[in-house]
Amino acid sequence: MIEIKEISLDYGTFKALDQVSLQIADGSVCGLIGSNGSGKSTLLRVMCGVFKPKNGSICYDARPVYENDEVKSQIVYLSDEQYYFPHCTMEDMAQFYASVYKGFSYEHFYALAKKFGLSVDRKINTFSKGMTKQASIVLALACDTRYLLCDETFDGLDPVIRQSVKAILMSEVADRGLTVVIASHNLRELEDICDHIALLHKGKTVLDKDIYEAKTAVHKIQTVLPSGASLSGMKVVRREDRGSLSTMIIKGAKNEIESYFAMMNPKFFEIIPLTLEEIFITEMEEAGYEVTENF
Amino acid sequence: MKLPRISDKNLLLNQIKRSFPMLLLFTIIFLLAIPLCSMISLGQDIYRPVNFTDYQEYLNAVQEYGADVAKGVGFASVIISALMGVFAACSVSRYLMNKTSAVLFGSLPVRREKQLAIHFSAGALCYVASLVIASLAELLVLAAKGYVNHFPAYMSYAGMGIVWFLLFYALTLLIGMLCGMTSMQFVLTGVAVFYLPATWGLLLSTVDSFYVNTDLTYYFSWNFNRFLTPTVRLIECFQKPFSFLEVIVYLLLSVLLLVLAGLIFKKRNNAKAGQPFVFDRVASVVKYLLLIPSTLAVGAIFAALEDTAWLVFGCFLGGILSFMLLNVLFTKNASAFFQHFKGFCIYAVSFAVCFLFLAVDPFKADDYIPEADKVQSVCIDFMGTQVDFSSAESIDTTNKLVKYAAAERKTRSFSESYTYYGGYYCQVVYKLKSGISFCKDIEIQDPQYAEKYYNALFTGTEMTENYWRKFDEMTEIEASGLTYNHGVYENESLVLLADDKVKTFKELYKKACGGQIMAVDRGPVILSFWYENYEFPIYLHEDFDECVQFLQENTMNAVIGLMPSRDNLDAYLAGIDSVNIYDEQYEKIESTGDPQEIKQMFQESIGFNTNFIFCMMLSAESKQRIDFTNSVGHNVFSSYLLQ
Repeated sequence: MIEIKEISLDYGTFKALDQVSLQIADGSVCGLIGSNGSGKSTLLRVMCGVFKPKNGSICYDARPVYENDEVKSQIVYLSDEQYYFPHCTMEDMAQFYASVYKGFSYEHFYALAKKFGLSVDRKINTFSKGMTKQASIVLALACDTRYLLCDETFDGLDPVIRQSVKAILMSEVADRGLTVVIASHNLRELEDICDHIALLHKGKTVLDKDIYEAKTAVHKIQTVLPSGASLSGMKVVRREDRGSLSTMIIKGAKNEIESYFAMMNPKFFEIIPLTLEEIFITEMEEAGYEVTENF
Repeated sequence: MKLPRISDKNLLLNQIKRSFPMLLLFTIIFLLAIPLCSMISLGQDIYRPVNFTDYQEYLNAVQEYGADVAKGVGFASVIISALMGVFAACSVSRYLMNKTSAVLFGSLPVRREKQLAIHFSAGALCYVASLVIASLAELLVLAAKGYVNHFPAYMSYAGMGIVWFLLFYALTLLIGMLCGMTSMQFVLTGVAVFYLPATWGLLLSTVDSFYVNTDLTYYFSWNFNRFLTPTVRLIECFQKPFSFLEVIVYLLLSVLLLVLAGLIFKKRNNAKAGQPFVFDRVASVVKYLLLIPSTLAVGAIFAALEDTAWLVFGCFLGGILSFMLLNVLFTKNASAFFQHFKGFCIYAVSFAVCFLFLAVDPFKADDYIPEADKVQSVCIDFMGTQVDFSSAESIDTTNKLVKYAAAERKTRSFSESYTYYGGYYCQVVYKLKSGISFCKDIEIQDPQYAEKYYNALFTGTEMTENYWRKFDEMTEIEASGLTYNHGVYENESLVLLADDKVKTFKELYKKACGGQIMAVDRGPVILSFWYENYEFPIYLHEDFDECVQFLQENTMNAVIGLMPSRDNLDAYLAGIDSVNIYDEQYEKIESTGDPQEIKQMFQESIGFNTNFIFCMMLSAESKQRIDFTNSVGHNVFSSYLLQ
């Protein structure tokens, strides 16, 4: 388990992280969401031991990560701009990673490279941006670590490759219990693979939710209620009326909402699935943040 | 800090593989500087047996030349090694200066000590490998040319090179740990090496501008700089190899620097990669450390306008400009000119207080003259001649001279008192019994007083006794002048008299002087003798006919010609039989024996400004050489025709 406790970090006078706390269970996929400059990359770099936080602690199974090569040998970090040695090939980089990560699997490396159609003996600086991203994913997964920290990994990948990468990640999570933390500014990108989402804003964790929990706690309802019907027993977060049709976002358990509305004999009642984006906008608004400011 | 063991061979090999371009570069540089230079130098046929009467002498000279070449390339390897140390450190720590690579390495499960050890080892191995390759090539070259016996001499330099490489390598790495940019690391290494002597020199020069009677630049000496910069010892390696103790000290120093680098590396924040400095406090300290010499340097430029007021203005201007520039450089922000301006104000006020203190000189340090009983000796440097005095009489006279000079200066206007107008200038170095020494600048404008004090010293009892004692012990008389050999102009000392001839000359000279030594402001100095590594002048005066005649008849290597006036010209020229004119390659292009032509050419060649002429008074500005030769074929006089 990754346990982040009240970490703070400054870049001079700029507070990059401010009392961030987070818990990520093993074998889960956690999405770090936030606008540019919200502190996602910094948090990831602190999580993999590149930066030392000013305050707080980051532990992997209760062991601190900073300058702890035993813990770090279980983490691989994929930067948004991954570094490659000048004029090196994927094979050169594989040799380098193999000298650092004891669990590096050449078999896995060649298999993944083949899957992505990447030539391992071609110089990486001749690769396109997307291919370079793929190469970094291949190398990172071949390290066979328990934790994978990715920063804007899906940026620059075409939709097909993106889905392919997601599928590979999911299979790694399923097969060997890989814990993945993915930072992105695009919530929709993470919707289908994350089971935990943390939202960062101005260096603070605004929200930290399990997706299942979030999805079951908020519901979107379309209904035509009889005149004079009162919703005082429901926690309505947002309501929009178009003629007699009301669209509402209501907090609470699904069965409680259904039975409450059933008592009012609505002319029409339907629960519509919420997108992750809608859930988080709702949560954010409830927490008192201006949504337009963040997305 | 416990130094890490390099357990991961693969990681090291990987790093060495990545350092291959550096290895290649080092090897090429070493091959060019060592074996290739040896090959070219040893291939030159400079010495020919025909120039030597003894063939063994020729062989000795050739071997000596071989030794010089081995020594020369060895020394070159020492200098290159020091530079390679800087380059290698910048190269191996470059990954820390780039944000993406710093992040990659920071995320890897390799402890920082291990990273440093691996990078350090890879750089050092590249250097050693390139040196070994070049040394083997040098061995082959020396063996092929028959100078293999000089290889150990070369190797001793190569060994010194390794020590210097390690020192500069560790120093640059340490500085790199404080910087986030390779360019800053490189510049700061240069600053670290030259900072102390440069600042010391500028500081002395600035204070010296305020202290008109004291020469503070006296303290800027080669010996003292030895403690301020390693470059002094580096240069001295050419003549003076390392002692075993020095090797140990330098190696320990390198280890210490490396350990410090490791400790700083552990504290280093990877987020600062790409920034000029990793630690803000270090940046502040470095900024103010650099501000001091840059302030003084601009002040020194303005001080050339010969007024202390200009120096103060220059310092103010230099301080503010340097502050703004350093702010911009250290923050990489063009609008950060006046950042931390409060700090600069404190700095400027401190400077102003120091200047005020120097200008007012409340303790009258500039006028300080030690009491005679506290002085062990004084050394007076007058007209290029240094003379030590230690008698009470001489010290008393010196004190009077210094006191008078200071008093005379005070009678001048403020700006004049800070300005040297080319009066009778000398330097007096006091050596006190307490071990302290200091130097006074003396400049007297009144010739009457100048003659009074200088003559009192230079013709006083102590000087006279010392001079004649040394004069009695001299065995040779020398003269120096410009000579032309193998197409090269050289300032050379030649023995004019030796053995019995010296004895006779001494008698004649003493007789001419009447037991006194000649005042220095009379007559040109044309001869000298050496005693205990000091050169003593012999003042030949116009009326020392017997001495001059003796020299004309007996000097070796040259012929002294006396020309007190135009009247004697004919008599002098009577001894000249022919004139040969040579071109730049010393090929004879014209020759004449006609007395009229000789006279005309002689008059054109030499004016009548000098009282004495002799064969080595030549001008290097000239192109064509003219030799005036007497009946026995000796050159009486040589000159050059200006184009």
